[in-house]
Amino acid sequence: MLLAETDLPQSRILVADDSLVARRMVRFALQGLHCKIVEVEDGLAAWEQVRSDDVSLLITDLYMPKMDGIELIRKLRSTDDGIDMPIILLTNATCEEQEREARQAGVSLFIRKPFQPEQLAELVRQVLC
Amino acid sequence: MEGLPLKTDQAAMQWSLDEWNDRLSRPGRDLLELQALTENNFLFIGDQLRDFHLRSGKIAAAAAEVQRVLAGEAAVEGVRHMQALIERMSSFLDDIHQSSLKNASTLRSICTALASLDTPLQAFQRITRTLQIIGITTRIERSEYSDERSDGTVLSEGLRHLASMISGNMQEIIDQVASLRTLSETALRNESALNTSQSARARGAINNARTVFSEQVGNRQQALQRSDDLAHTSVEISRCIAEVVSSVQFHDITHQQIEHVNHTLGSFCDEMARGQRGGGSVDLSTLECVVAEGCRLQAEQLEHSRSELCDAVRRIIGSLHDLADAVLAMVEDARALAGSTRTDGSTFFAAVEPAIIAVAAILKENLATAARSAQAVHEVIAASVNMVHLVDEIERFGAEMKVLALNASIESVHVRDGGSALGVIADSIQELAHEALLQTDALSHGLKDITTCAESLADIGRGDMALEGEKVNNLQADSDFMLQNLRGANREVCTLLEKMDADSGSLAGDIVETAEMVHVHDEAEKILNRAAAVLFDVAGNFSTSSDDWNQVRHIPVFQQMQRRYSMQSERKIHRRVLGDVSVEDVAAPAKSKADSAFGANVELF
Repeated sequence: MLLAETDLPQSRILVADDSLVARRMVRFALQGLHCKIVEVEDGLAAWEQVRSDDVSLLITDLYMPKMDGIELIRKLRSTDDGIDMPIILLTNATCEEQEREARQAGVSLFIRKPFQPEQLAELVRQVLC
Repeated sequence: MEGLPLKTDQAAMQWSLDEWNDRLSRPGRDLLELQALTENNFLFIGDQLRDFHLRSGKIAAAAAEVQRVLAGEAAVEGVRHMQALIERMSSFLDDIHQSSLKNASTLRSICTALASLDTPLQAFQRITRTLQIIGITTRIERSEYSDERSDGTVLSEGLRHLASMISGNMQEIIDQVASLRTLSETALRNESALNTSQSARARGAINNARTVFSEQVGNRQQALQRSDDLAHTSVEISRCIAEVVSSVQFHDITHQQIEHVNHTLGSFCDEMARGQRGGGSVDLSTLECVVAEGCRLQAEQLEHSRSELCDAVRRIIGSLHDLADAVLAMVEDARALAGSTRTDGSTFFAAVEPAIIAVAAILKENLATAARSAQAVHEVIAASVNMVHLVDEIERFGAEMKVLALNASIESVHVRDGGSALGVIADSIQELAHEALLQTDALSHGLKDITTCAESLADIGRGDMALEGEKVNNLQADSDFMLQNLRGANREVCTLLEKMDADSGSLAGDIVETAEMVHVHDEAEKILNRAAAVLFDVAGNFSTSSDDWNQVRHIPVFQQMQRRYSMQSERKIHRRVLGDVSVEDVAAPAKSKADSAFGANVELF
């Protein structure tokens, strides 16, 4: 296969990004994992989704309306459900200050766009397996 | 920083607020139009990419299947089995050939032995005739001598009886010899056919089959190399798709940059409005100059975004074309792997089938001939066996001849008292008896030679032809089974290749069509150029000094402008346009050792 295949049907990945194009590319990159992917447009919707559903992994953008990625991560880390949840920050941002903020908030992994699809798939596979 | 040095009254703005709003809102509207345009186009590219990925994946899977059928272990095993089959066939044909050579030699010996019987047979014919004459002569002579002590008629009768017996038996012998000769010559012809022309054809077919299989082994080496080509093409397809995915993300990257510009322009308008209301801490003319210079900066940011966006779209177009080429190349590689061309539509396997069929045909032909020759040999053996009793008969003639000769001698003694004619007869009989004995020996030896050869024929023998036939049937069955597998594999590969041809042609066409439909970069370029031109025009109407910037550094709108930057590219452009004095120095992300495994853009915590 052109993108490596792995079966992770029990995994539920939440993708939070206000850009439909970005969400499509993340979904495309992860299609080989055969897991359920849920998309939301903002941090608040992501927060509600995590509280209502079992989420295996959160992939979030930094700058989103209603609640940005850093605030979302901080809130999640303060909950029982979210304290151990793997969280990937997928962002255009390229500065140490934002990385420091993300690290302090409790992000697991920081990926700067543009990402390669195999790269994202492999990172997610490693996180989930 | 150049511009028209037209500083006005401190309280007055060069341009009215409306003019500022109008000037700064135009790029804003353009940028909004751009967002909608680019999002739709990039979503379209994303949708198409998903379809292309799915379809190219199917073609790649078909190529992998072709590879598996042709170069996988099953194929190797299949070739090995076929090679073993050919060797079994070769061994069987060798056995037929060897026994045929031995049979031919023995049959030639039989023919030679048969030829050696001609002389004694002819001699016995003469003896028979002479005996008959002597018998008649003896009767005549004895009729002149009436002697109650001798029975002259016994001798003549004995002579006539022996002559008749010999004559009858000789005829039988002659007939059997002739029959055996015919059978032997027929059998010899069969064996010659087997071990000359048919054997040569069999050898040719076997050698051809061996050559074909050697080529198969060579083809497999080539196939393995072609497998590398296929793997490279598959990697190339992945690369093209990955490049498109990577480039599509520049939509978001530039979108954010453009949004920052939009927000900044909006905040400039707000600041101008506040300044005019008297809420600002800087005089309006300075503010105007700085805002104008800020517009220049935003124009530069837009130009950078334009370059990034348009370059990304060009990369997408280029990668789509490369993807189309790679998809077509994959099919070519698969065809090369199969040794197939579009004209004949067959694969390497197709060369194997005629070779096996030829050998199987030769096998059948040889078996048929071997069966005929075995039949002929059996008949020779049977005819030879029939001759065994003749040897005894002939030896009995010799014994009888001896008795007659003795009788004749006794008669001649009796008769000699009265005359010498019977004495001559007795001598003749003695001579005949002697010759008969000699010829009897010759016949006996000849016939024994023949029966010995016939026994060795029986020893050589091909055994039960039914068993031989069963061997051939088994070989044929194995051959048919392998041919069936071969045809199946050939058909499977040809079908796969035909489908790959159709699918790849269609896919490549769709990819190229999509690539040719992508003009978003042209449209984006126009819009961004237009927006940047407006901002450059604004900047061109004012001039700014570093003092102006120092005065405004504390103003939130300018601080926010810098804080809004999320990318090093934005900060670099800021520094380039406005100088080092204004931008907050924000460190670029430090590279850590841990991310090297996943890429320079990944940070693990």
